[in-house]
Amino acid sequence: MSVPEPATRARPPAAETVELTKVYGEGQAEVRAVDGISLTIPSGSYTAVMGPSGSGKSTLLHCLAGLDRPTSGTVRIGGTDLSTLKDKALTELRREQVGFVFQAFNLVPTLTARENIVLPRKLGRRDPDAAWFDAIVGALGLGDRLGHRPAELSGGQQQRVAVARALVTQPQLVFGDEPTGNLDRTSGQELLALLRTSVDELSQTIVTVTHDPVAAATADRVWFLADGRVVDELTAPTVDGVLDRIRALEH
Amino acid sequence: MWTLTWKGLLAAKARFVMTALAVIIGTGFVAGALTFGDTLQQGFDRLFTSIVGSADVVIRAEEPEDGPGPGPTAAEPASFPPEVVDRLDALEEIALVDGEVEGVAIVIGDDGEPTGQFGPPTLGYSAFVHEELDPAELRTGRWPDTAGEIAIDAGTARAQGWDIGDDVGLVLDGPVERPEVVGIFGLGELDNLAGASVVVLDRETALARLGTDGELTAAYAMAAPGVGEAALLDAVRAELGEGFRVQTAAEVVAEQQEAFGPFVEVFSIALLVFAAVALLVGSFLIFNTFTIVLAGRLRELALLRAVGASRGQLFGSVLGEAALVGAVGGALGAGFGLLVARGLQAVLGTIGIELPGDQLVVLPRTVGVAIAVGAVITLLAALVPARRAVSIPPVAALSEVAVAAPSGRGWIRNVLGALLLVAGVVALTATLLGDAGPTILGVGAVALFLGVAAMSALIVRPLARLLGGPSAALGVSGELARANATRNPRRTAATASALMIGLALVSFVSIFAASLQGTVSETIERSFRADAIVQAGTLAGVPPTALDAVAEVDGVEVVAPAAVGQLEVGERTITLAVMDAAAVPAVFDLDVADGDLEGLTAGGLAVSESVASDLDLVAGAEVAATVPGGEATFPITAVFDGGGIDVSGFLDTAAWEDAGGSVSSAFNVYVRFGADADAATTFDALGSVLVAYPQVLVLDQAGFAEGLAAQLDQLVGVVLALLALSVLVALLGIVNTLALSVVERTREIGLLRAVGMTRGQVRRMVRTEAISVALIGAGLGLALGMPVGAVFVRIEQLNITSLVIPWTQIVVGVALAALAGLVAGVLPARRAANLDVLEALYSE
Repeated sequence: MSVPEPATRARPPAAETVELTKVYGEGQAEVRAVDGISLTIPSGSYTAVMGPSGSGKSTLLHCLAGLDRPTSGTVRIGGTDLSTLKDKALTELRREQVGFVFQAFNLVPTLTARENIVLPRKLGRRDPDAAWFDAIVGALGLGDRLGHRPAELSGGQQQRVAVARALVTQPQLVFGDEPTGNLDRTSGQELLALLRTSVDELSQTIVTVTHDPVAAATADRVWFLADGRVVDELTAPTVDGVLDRIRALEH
Repeated sequence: MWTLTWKGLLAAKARFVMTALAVIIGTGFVAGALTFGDTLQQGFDRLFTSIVGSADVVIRAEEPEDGPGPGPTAAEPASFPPEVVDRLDALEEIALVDGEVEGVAIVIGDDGEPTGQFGPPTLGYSAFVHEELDPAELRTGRWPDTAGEIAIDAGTARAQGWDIGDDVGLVLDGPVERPEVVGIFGLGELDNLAGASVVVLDRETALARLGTDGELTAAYAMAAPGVGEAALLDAVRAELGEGFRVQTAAEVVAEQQEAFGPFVEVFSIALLVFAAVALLVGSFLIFNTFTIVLAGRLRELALLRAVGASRGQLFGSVLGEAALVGAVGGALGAGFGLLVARGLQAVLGTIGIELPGDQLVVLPRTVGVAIAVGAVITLLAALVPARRAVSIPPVAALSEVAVAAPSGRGWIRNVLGALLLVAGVVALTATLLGDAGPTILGVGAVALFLGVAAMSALIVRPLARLLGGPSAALGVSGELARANATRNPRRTAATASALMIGLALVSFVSIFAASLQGTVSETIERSFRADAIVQAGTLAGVPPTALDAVAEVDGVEVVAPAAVGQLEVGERTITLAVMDAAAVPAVFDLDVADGDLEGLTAGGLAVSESVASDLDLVAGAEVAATVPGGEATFPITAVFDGGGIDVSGFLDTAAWEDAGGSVSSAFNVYVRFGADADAATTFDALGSVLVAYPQVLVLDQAGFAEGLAAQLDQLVGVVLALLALSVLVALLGIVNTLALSVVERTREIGLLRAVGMTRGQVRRMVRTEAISVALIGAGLGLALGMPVGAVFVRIEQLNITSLVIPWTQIVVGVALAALAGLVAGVLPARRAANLDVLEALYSE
């Protein structure tokens, strides 16, 4: 597999879904967590997904990231239809083409920061691209923390290591699941700035689920979900704009 | 709080099962050992009762004092003329009386080899006239009537595949003959006793050819109706007078029980040692399980604290759970013990030792002990983890980050461990340099063991790093496996402890055995001048006709038969080679440290250095000893270096006969070839004339050394059994700990899977960790056992002169350990690999 070229706006979409549906349970207990969502995530874009608990935003993200299999519909990442992949190929796709930043417990406690960052490359038995590694480590300000284990890092530092790990394979897209949810205000804002930078300067594609209007406002656009459907969309969001939409959805 | 304990148990069946499993293994071996011992005891009791049959009194000739104890061990048992039975028969107090001849009859298997070589007794008996008195019971066929007919025990018949009508090989007093089997019998419920072969001959043949010169060895009598025991005894004693031992059936049974009591006891003690090892290792396992299980419940415990449970209440609840699991595990362990006891019987059965006791004897005491031991051990093992767990602050329940139990005071443990290690090393050094005995070394070994156990947290890391090289070659799975094995070194060390103990024992004993064997071969090379040794393969000795045949072989110059004699000096038994004094220098090259061998001819005694130092003897001194004829005094003529020779003294034939000893059966015949004879040709010729005597072995020096060494194989066998046990327990321990670790690391595994670890890589990671743990245990075991073994063989009293490290056995031990790790890793690895990524990622 060739290392992807730095992204340009002319690239094909990083990911798309067609009539994506995910149903849990059967009969009376049936829950349509995601109900026929079709959307496109352009390369080099930064998208935030918002919605109340149970709106299906996490499920949408899991299906998009190849962590969960849809009940029906299609998910494509970089042109690959995920439903055609067996577990091993799906795992390898996650390893090579998807980066993850979770809310907590992002890092393997037994590995140092450096080892955590290069983990996806090592899992693929490949050495990380040294120049790219230096670039992201420099951009994230982790240069002097690489030899430390997660327990020796602050929450903000841990999340930055997770971002570095997500970026190290130059994936088609990076998923964030409340990446700032566990951070104090300052660290959270630093992290959001870094995510913004990685889109603007490193041409990465990011999709993140969040409750936080401030986080959502750093994205290029925000999708609002309710009952498993995209009910609203906001481009070039501001904090106030996001808050208005949320209020509108709640009433 | 009891409700909490109950709910706690029910809520987590998995942790209940895991802990209980650990308890079951530990207590199972205890229950198994007890059950086996009880079964053996009862079996022997029944056997002895049935051996007396329906006789009320048993009459034997008085045996010389300090002679052979009960049981047919003497080549020449005490005997009396058959007329004695007629005299008894005439007594009106006696309803029925019968005589018995007991001697040696060697059964030759269809492969031409004696069935009981170097092993269990080979017994020959006369058939009874009155079958009512016969302790043996015919299963099929009939008792023999004439020469050329025999009856044989069912065990031997089954082992050899013989049936009525078969002609089988038998040696009585001459070369092999082939009588016909006309009957097959059992002894009570047994086919056979401890692998002994028993042949019954017709009365005439038995009297003539069992070595009693036409005399009987015992008589069994049944009282006439209405005659009491005392009256019967009095009548028989009055009739026979001095020189007879008249015993009631109960007395005979008691005597036999007393004779076999120590055997049963030794067996039970050996088994309980096994059980203790299993229990020790099991308690590590329980400790581990509780630590992990409680670590997984910290948030729950913190929540209970937050809603108002006191520390003491939680502690009580956790300990209550421990005691309950322990007791239930102990009860199940008692059941598992039945399997263990059956397994032991089966194992002994396959190596030819059939012990009495068909029905397992399960005493209430066994179940009680298993339950009590299970509860107590579990309680003790849970004490530390429970204390640590309940010291969790209530606020931890509210915290989002992963909670960890406050760790124990590591530095105290490490300092203590270091002190123990130093003490151990000092003890070893003292043993090596000075004359500190085995006790100091034993204390040192225990100190080393405890030191290593205490310092495991520090020791495991570097060991894992050492193993890390090869496992890192597996890529990131290997690196993670290594990291996982060291993330909780004490847990790893506890898990590995079973293999540590196993490998320590194996390396210790195998070094001891190999060094002893090495010393034996060395000494044999040095101290034997004989070119060949003819050995009696059975208790009957080498037949005189065989001696004649050997002497006639071309090239044979000296034939020196040696009988075995025993002297008692105080508590010390001296095993003598009784032989023609003039022949000693011809066949031995003894390293005489003091005096000379000349005095042997004049009735002097030559003793080994170890005897001399034990009894404080020097050449020229005299020693008073108990001999078959009573007491005798011998001048010490020489003290020789006896390391490795299986005799501790030499005495001339004439002097032994003067002391009342028997020289009629030679057990070792030393043969020297002429200077101009070709050794190989002569040895072959010797072999071919002795083909007619399958009950003897002919060996060259190397073969003799091997034969002596083979006796050590039993020791090695016991050690291998210990190894097998430790491997089994280790296997379960690794499965247990790893399965719990996988549960504990569910979220981490989910993360790894999310960022691109394939199922195969997860599997490999867990398996590699299992193997690493096993190898760490093996490594620690070798690090303990090898130095202790190497120092042990240097202890002077043992007279071991060479240090041999049996690398093959050690490598096999390590390979077995690795295999245990490999097998143990399979299930936890599968479980880890099959975790659902999403569920794992978002698990608590």
